Amino acid sequence: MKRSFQIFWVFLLITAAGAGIAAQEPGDQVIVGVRETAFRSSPSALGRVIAQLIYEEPLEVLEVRGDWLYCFRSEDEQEGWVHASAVVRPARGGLFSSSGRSVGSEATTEEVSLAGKGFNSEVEARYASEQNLSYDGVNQIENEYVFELESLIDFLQAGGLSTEGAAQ
Amino acid sequence: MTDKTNVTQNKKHFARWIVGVLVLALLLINSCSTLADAVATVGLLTGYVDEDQAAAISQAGQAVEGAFADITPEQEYYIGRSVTALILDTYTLYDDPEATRYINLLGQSLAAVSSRPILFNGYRFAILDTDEINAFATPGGHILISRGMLRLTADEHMLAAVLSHEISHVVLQHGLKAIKTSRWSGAGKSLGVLALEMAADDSAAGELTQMFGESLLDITDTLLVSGYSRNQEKDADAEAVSMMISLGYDPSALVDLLSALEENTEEDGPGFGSTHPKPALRIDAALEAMGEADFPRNINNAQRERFAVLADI
Repeated sequence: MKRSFQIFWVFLLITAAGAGIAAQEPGDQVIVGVRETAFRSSPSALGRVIAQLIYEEPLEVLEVRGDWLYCFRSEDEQEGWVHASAVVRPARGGLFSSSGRSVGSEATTEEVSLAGKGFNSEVEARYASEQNLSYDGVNQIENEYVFELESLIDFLQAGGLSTEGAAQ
Repeated sequence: MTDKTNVTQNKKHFARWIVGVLVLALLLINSCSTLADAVATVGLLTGYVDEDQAAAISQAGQAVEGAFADITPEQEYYIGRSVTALILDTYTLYDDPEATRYINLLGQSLAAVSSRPILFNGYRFAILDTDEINAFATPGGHILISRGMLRLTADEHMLAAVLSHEISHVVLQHGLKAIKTSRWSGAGKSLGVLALEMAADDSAAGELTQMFGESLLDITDTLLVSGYSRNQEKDADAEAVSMMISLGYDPSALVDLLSALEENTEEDGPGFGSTHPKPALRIDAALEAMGEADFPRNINNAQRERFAVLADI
């Protein structure tokens, strides 16, 4: 029976990891799904930054305009525009199967954490060591040339280009 | 003792083989609408699972089949990191800080006006040290352009066309769709095998890592060998046109780029030629995406000067 539990577990893992991007509506509770983003003054990636938002912060959707959400953060009662792709629905399901039976008793802490996060840094570390794959180049790419919004606007203005286009 | 182990091993292999054949048979005769249903049914028939568990597998499987379309930005990022690491196992990064800085400024500006401006860790652009004409985008927003491809660009507008086309593959999640199509619409082997191997292995983390690895292979195979579909390339071109117009770049630079690619690549050649539809076939669709409006190609001194960092690429 351990075997059948394990077949079941692989499906449960992916189901639990399936929390994702979906169309949001006013009243929805969402969490920040990216490392960092911001409340902006207008529904535009080039809009003025009102407040920084960090990974997994909870927000409430107040208004939807195209791909942009006007959200409320209860912690400090701030409001602002966030791009819909920067938030996710909170993970659903947890460690309960569809019949409500808990299968958590047989899961290790590591498995529980993997179920919540899906493909994450732990999985990457295991994969990297199994494949003997170097991530030096990836880290180099990620750590250089991270620009602030101002640098991008300067770049566009110097080139005689539009900085209005980001308003959607 | 050894004999007993062998017998157990053989039995296990035989059981796996039988289950595999049954899953496949049920899928082929279409009595199960999804692979998960087939696995659940076979599990039930062979006594691997009881009825409750079969129902749960079947139900969970329906979520599984949509899971890759519904994956979180964090997971996209980790998939993207490893896809990049695998590409860099074949190609080397080109060490030119000024050129790399320039394509990041331009690329990140374009990404800001895309329909997906925010990723888990943002967009990054890098140059591959190869004469081959090629470009890659990972689901995590890592975009790699070959020196050969950069050499085809004659001005910043054409460079914007290259970068915005690659950004579009990220925006439209074409990399993730490579997992989905090859994994879920084929014979369904991967999930079946995965589920069966799960039965013999005791670590869910190990299985997840394996699934991760298989997903990466689906993506790198598409990027390096088979290429995206003709429609996906056309969609990426259309999205690129809209990004370019938003910032004031001349979208007809994309047509110039496609013409340059047509002249410089062969269908049976390495890299871009073998993984992309004939560029000439994409030109009509790109023109259609532009509409009737006439866009000027304004190139001021600042643009000309900064583009010059690619002069000796």
